[in-house]
Amino acid sequence: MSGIEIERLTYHYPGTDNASLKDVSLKIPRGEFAAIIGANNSGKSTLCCAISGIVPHLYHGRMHGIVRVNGTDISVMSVSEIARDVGMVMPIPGNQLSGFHYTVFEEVAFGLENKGMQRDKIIERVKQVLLMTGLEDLAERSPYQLSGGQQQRLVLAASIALEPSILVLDEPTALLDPMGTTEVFTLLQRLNRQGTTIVIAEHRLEFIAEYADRVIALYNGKKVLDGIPQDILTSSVLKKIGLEWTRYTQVAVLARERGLWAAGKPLSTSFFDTVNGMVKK
Amino acid sequence: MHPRASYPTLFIPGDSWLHRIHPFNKLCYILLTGVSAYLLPGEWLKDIVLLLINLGFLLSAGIFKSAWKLIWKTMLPLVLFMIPIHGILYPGNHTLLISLQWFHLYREGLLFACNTLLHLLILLVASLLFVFTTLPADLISTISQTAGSPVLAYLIGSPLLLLPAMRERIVTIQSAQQSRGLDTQGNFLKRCYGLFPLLIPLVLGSLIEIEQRSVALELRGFKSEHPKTFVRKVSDSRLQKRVRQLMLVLTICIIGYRVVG
Repeated sequence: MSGIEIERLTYHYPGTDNASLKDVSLKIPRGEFAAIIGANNSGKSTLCCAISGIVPHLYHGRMHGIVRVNGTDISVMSVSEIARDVGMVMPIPGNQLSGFHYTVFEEVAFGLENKGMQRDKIIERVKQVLLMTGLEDLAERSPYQLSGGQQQRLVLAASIALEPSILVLDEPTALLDPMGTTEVFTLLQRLNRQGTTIVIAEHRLEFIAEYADRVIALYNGKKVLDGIPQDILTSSVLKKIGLEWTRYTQVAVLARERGLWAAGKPLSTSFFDTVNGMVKK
Repeated sequence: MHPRASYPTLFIPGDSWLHRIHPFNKLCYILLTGVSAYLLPGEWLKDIVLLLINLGFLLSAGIFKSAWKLIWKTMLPLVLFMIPIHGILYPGNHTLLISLQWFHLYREGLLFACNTLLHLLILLVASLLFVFTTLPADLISTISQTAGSPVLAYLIGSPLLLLPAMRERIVTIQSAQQSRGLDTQGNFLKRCYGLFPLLIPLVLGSLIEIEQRSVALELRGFKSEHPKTFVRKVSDSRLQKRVRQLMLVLTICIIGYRVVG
């Protein structure tokens, strides 16, 4: 199967008794836009690391279960081999820069150089990706001159340049303002429409409601919810696992309590659905 | 702002002849300078000539002012420690220069300290010529292309990256701790006491950063055994190669002379 398959994954970080992931099983088919949600320490980042092979290859620890990427068990692949299929973006962009490239252009080209791509093709691909991520005017700037949001887009560009079939993002919008977040999600949606599988761990549920095809909720290392955003993001279970409904869902719930919500209409997760769901008393 | 101005290294942007020289030539020059300073016969005259040559290079590359700040900050503590220690305790001391009650300063120890300091100064200036005019990207790219080992390249190039980054981090941590009432001014004891709240977050933060950076590099195929290509081209020429070879031959000759002689 192409995409991601996880079977009964349990993982302990080195030196810990408490498992960060407990018996997690899921399948994310190729081309899906899946969001992982959960409170802090629920296992979102660990799951992202498991898909990209960081766990257990770089963080070691005890792992049980199987993670397959495009049909291959990642435990028999090196991280560099996994990286050909899986791109990964982490929350702090500054720590993901190579540190020794002094232009944005070279930073994006770095991964392609490691792949051994021809020089002229690298240049062409980097220009394409910089245009896609809106960084073309910053190509000659030092990566350290960019704002946090621009650095995050740079890290994303560096990852996209490698054309991974799966892109895993661990809270990529943590440093971004709402406009920057919208830009990132729009870009991810575009990549997804071109066939890239997107897996994103994210706290901002409004954006997940708008862009994701599927939502997986984790609590204390276990998968507790899995389904379409409409069902998961309006579920009463969310509060029990330390999450809040989106403000649109909260308005819809309030409207229903006051008899202002259309009978039989499911709770909404977006601004327009909330407005459309309202009825006059 | 210059596009390279905020690059977190000691590199000083410029277009001098030193900036254009191949990184290996500059490394060979440091080696030759070090070997000459320590192994060539003759003491003061040879050392002063070497120092003047290096200072002349600093001036001609337009980096003297920046280098000067770093030189005195590095050398002053060494001068303050080495001169009294060797002046008093050097084993070959017998010609008394200054005697003030229990304090006896000897000529031989003083000369030894000055000579050692001069050697260190020559090496420091030669090293600054390298770090101030060489981009880590050029160095790492050159080593990767020549030795075929990006890990080795990163290992050699990383001190150029880490030290300025740590300096920036210290300033940030210091400001954060001061805003929470930590007193880092005042007498020696107070400053020592203030060191711990600075060092712990510095070390822990650096370790986390190193771990995350190594993961990020790995994810971008840094350690991949696949043959690599390079977008960046570091300028080299036949003349530079000849000069490099000449410096290496001279270095070997000096070492050989010393071993045989």
